[in-house]
Amino acid sequence: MTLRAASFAELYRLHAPGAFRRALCLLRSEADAHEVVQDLFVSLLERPEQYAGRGDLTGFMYKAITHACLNRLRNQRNRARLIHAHVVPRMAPQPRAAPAEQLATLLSELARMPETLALVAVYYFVDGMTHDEIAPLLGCSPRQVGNLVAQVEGWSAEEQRA
Amino acid sequence: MSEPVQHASDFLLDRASANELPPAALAALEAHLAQCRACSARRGALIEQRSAFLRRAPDWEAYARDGSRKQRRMPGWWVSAGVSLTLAASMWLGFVRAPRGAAPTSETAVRAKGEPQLGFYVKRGAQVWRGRARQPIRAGDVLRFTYSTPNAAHLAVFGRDANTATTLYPATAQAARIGAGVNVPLDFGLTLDAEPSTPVVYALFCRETFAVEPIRRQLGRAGPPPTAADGCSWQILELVRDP
Repeated sequence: MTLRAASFAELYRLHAPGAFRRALCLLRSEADAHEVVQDLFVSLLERPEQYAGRGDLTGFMYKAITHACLNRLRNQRNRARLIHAHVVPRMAPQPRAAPAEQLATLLSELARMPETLALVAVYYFVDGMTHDEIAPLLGCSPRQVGNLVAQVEGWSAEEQRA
Repeated sequence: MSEPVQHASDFLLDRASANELPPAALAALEAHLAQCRACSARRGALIEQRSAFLRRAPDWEAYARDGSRKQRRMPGWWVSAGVSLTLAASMWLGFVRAPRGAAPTSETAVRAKGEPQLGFYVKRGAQVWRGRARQPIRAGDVLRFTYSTPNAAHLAVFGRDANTATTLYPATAQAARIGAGVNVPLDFGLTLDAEPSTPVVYALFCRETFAVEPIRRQLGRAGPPPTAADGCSWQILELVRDP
């Protein structure tokens, strides 16, 4: 399926709510989440070839929103203050994801984390995805995802000590 | 950090909701949901969140409008009929002519440094793109304008064709005060019809406020636009129809 073939309204109906939910979870700001989602859909309208029918659309949306949110977090000068001001997640954390305190710590570290580790951290600890689900999004093996998760934990522990 | 318990992830539930799961995977998920209270509850929560989102903005156009009202930073071309204006023009070719004779460049509209700039987006059917030099624009296209300025200013936008000048923005007697920003959308758009005239869009940016109507009257006269006063600059979007 290509985006040109798909109805854009249907694409929005199916994927915008989930994209917004994840953006809100990562950015802690409704305005920012709306903006990131709008950016994504506008970008898809302007350049539908960026999807190019690779994999399922949900995976593409997860990747695109995650990248956009991480970029925004990095660009926010006051990101640390904002994140710590919203320690309790507004969206109920999933039972399989990290506990709320760990999530808050993780969210505060995302902007400083190396790109690949930040992606893994979001998918694994925030989204609660499995290694098998993360692997195709990162283009690596499930085993490599496990290694990256371990690196995230090591990086986080190092930050705590520093 | 603790190892997550293996439940159905939101990713899996989202894929199921988007009808992207193969039948076997979907059956396995349904079987799991029938037995797992936590995952079943999570699916219910996701469905409710989805419904709440779509109740608020049931379609993309409503969402774009809602978002542009809230943030004033995002392009939102889907202007309602109430704020759309129809100008006499058919197929337009838009290029940005920088003020004071600077060389035309398609990128000037996205810079916030230096002179304030007027930019625009084009919506044609489901396609949307940033207006650029030498890009054909046709009847039926919707143009949504944006501005970029490094400092707060006052702005009015006019349309002029061979016979008359029209105030496009704002709808008030005084110029609109605008904040610093890049590609900030304005609350009006142009729906292009099939008249074969060639209108030009003039934006006047000033440090101080100014009355709109006297400028429109001056602009309605033949010849070049009135000289910009101190602290003011013209930005001109010359829209030429596509042959």
